[in-house]
Amino acid sequence: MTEDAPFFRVDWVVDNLPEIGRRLGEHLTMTVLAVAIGFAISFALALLIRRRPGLYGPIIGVSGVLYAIPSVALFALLVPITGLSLTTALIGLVSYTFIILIRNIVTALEGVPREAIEAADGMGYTRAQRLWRVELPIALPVIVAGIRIATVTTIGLVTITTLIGAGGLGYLIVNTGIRRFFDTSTYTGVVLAVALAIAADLLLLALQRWLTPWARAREAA
Amino acid sequence: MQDATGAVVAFEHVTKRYPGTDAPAVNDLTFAVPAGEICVLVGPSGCGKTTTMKMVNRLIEPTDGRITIDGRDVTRIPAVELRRSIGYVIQQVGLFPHLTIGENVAVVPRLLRWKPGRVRDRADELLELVGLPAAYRDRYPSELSGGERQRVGVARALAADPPVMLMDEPFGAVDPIRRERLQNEFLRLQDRVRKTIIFVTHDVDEAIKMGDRIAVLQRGGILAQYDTPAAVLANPASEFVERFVGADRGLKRLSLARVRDLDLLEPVVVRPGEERAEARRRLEAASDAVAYALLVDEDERPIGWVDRDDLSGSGSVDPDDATPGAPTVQPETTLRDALSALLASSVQLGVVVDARDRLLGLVSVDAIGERMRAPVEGDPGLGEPREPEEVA
Repeated sequence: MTEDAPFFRVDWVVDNLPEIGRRLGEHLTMTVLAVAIGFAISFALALLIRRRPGLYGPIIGVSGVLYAIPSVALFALLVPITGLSLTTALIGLVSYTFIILIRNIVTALEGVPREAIEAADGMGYTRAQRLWRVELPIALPVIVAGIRIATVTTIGLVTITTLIGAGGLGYLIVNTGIRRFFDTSTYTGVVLAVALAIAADLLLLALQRWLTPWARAREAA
Repeated sequence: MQDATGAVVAFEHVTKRYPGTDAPAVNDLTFAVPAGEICVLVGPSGCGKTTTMKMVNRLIEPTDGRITIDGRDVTRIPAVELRRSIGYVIQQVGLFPHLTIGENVAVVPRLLRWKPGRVRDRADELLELVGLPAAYRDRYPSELSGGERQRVGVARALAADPPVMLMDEPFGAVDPIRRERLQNEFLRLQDRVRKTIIFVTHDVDEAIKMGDRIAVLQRGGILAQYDTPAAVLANPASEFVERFVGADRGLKRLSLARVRDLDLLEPVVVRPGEERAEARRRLEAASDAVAYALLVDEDERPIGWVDRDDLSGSGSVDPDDATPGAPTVQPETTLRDALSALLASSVQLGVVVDARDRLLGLVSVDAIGERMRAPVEGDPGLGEPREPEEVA
């Protein structure tokens, strides 16, 4: 840090607002896509596990292995197959959500009180009605808790995808920041990534509260 | 409400064998429950009583034999349709935590696709029927007490006005005092709705109190006796029944009669605000048998006992003068429960109140004793005293 180069150059941020906004938008888009696709696949797998509990071990095992692969290595392995593309980035990001989401959805469904299920059966719900009208609504708070963790984790991981040219806030941190020894860009990227993670977490929490007024009644009771 | 009477539920040689077990869980059960009656399935754990009940709405399918409701074989009715036409109450209630009380009660009408307006009206009607305030409609189950939740469970089971109801230890999870009141409430309700009810319990006293008929089951799902409570107590069909009913059959016979069968005593009633001197004079004018006056509030609800000392001095009577803790019983309370409540209190007088806790009269230990000596209707009596049983 010298007198010529202040710690943080606000003027650069102001001048580059459109670029920063674009990177933030990319980051958000990738996060939403990854979590949405990850959730859809995880949900299907969790329902499969419910029908065949024997599959829980293998599915969780594979998800765990995927999660254990370092992200940089995973992207490096994928580039020869899918190229430097958004697809490559998403495949990596989505595969990291599995372990969190599948385990959460399965746990959430298992946590539905047995007597609620027995009552539903006794009153003549069909299997599908029971799932959609009883089990999933009751499991929702735990499922959303899983989505929150997956989202925050994904926001962090998206910064890496700049290495395969996917953009996002990682671009500000790595490409215009670290590589050019330009701290202002790095800090901007980091602060925005953290802010985005916090905002997303709070937003999902608010969504969960709004969707499950009954859970609050329980807390109050 | 409706004059809808229940349907006849008949078991014909019903057997249930679980795969991989030698002994059947339910063995060649044959009996019929007349329309509009409560049949209590009672027996020790492992006697197949819950299995028997669950075969009626096909939560469990019989291996052999058939169950009919008004002559229709239940296995010929699609399971989901059958279950929607049978009320179902379980011990843990199983209210849906994510639905309001109103929505919980409306579950079956919604499954049956009633029109929204009709569903709403029915929900309100049901809450009133089980004695819950209409304001509860928008609350969640977690905001209610255990007893209130149990009443919602009963309301939910009655929602589509099913002719038959299955109740699996419905009052098992409530404390004894609340259970007694819920039982009374339910009996009053049944007087109005007249459903055919299959009621499972392991508690002989509850069976005697609630049942028009009792089916005593023994291990292996064998029907040991099927008769009225009075007949089961007076003439146990086997040694097993005799042992299961207990050595205190004489005392249990008290469960056959209710407080409403007694002539109630007239209490000296005192109200807050009344002149103490006047209250004292009235208490002294009363017979010697009554040493206490009963203080009641403006809604005729008992507050507690007051004696002469409490009423000494001048001025007006204050609610704080009363010693609370008078045992309260209801007209539906069995004499056995009433006696037990009375013996536990220092003043051996019970206050009889109606469903809204309003004073009806007093019941004394003496009155119960006198009643014990008189024959009970439908009860042939205990006959010759028997040799004491050896306890298995």
